[in-house]
Amino acid sequence: MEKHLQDLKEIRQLMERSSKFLSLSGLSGIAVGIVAIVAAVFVYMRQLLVFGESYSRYFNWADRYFLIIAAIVTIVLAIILGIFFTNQKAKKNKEKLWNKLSKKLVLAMGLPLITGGFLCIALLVHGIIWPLAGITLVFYGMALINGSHYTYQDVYYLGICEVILGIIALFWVGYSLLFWAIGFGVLHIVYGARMYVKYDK
Amino acid sequence: MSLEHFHKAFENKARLGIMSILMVRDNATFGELKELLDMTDGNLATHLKAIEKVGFLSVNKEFVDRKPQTSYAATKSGRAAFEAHLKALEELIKNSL
Repeated sequence: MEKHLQDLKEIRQLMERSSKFLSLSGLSGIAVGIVAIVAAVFVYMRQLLVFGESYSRYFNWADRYFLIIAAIVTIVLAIILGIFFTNQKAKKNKEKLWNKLSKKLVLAMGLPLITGGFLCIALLVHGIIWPLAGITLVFYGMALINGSHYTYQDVYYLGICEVILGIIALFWVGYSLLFWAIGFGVLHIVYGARMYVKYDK
Repeated sequence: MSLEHFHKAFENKARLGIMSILMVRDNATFGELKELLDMTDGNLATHLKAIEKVGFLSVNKEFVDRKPQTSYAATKSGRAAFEAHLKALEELIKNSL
């Protein structure tokens, strides 16, 4: 009986190892979370400086450029750090960083992300700023849910949390930057730490 | 006990391993199987042949970057047989607990 049980265990492991990208690092999550919090604080500081508490002035083009540049810097930093730690774990696992499975993962996450990105750019061009934090959270959550088929199951629940936070942010607009910081910052750090303890140690 | 579902094609670990991988993926190349299962070329080829013979996997040969590449996929009957085998395994374990 022991042998059959062992067989089943090995079958399960093989199925998972051959269909999921398991080198996603918890440290990546923590690093991305820290970048997000720094970015949110930075944007908040500028808002305080430029608008004060009043929000009496309309968004001008300088505000839009600032948001676009801040977003690009944040995304690039997050991607670089994310890849860096995942690459280290892949090396440890003797798995290639860019293999069939990570390609599938990137494609599954990329489609919702690019769609959401274009939506945000369109809104920004038309001067609609208020839903951006919520929309980025919702689309990122959808990307995680979609990508979770090709990596740890935990990513699925992280995705659900991000979507819920995003929807709340869309209604509770005054605090949307705070929700953004919680979603991209705190949740990433909490999940990253959890995954690090669970899989990487 | 339903031992009739213990198909001979899955009698050893290597064959079980090959089928488990092909169950969750559309296909896998010889190299990928080798890496995942940590087997030698000759050993893997022998087992693949054996499973192919009973019609549980299909072989596809093509050229990728001018190099020949062989990839394998589970057939419908292979999937059905593997599922029956898994079920029998689970049943066996459940009954013994």
